[in-house]
Amino acid sequence: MDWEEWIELDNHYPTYHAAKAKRIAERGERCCRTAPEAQGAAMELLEELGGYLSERYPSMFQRGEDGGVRNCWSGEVTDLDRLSEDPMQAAARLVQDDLAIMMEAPDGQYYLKAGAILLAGFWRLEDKWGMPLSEIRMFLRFSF
Amino acid sequence: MWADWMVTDTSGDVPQFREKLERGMMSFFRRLSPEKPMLRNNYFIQVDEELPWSYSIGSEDEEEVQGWKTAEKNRAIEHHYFRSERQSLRRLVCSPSSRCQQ
Repeated sequence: MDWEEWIELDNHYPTYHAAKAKRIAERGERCCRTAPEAQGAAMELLEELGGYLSERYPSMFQRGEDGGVRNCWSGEVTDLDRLSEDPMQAAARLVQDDLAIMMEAPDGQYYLKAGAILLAGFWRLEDKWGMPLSEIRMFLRFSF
Repeated sequence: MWADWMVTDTSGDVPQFREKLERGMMSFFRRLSPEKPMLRNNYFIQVDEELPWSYSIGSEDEEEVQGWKTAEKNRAIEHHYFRSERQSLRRLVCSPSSRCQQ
C-alpha cells in the first residue's frame, strides 16, 4: 500500500457519515469501544487520521495548532485533548471505514482491544471483543 | 494465497490446514513493519440491500452469533447484492510526541 492511498473518501461520504452517526446514536459502545490498555493506541490512530486527512484532503479537513481536526463539510471539530467521546468513536466519524486495533500481549498473541465496527454487515464487535487473531476469522482472510 | 472459503467452510474438517493458515497469519502480522502497510480487497455476496448490518443473516440483536450460516436461503437474484471491502493493515508506532503516551 502506498501511503497516499491509506484512507479513501468517495462521493458516498455523506451517506456513510449519516449512517455512522445514526448507528453511533443507536448502538453506542456496542459498536465503538476502546479497552483501557488500548487507549494510547486509539489516540495515536486518531492523531494519524487527523494528520493524514488534513494533508490528503485539505479542502475538507483542517488541522488546528492544538492538533484538533475540523471537518469542513460537517462542521464537526475533534478536539484530541478534550475528547467528548470514545476515541474510536471519534475516529469513526472522520472516515468511511470501520476500524479495529489489535494489541500484542505478553504471550505474543494479538487481541482485539479497540474497534469502531459500524458498517461491517456480517459481524459484531461484541462477538469478537478481546479475542485473539486466530479466533477472529475475518482477519484470517488476509493474503500472505 | 486467498483462503476465505476454505477457512469458513471447512473449519473443523481440515484442522492441519487451519493451523498452517493461522501460523502463516500470525507470522504475517508479526512481520508487518511500520513503513510497509498492506492493502487487500474482500468481496461478498449478500441477500439484502443493507450496508450497516445484513439483516438477511438474522437480527443484529440476537444473542447467538449470526453469520453466513444463518443467512436466508433461496433469495431471488434481484435481492442479491455485491459488497466490496477494501482493507488496509498498518502497524502503529508510539512516538514520543504522540498522544499515545497517555
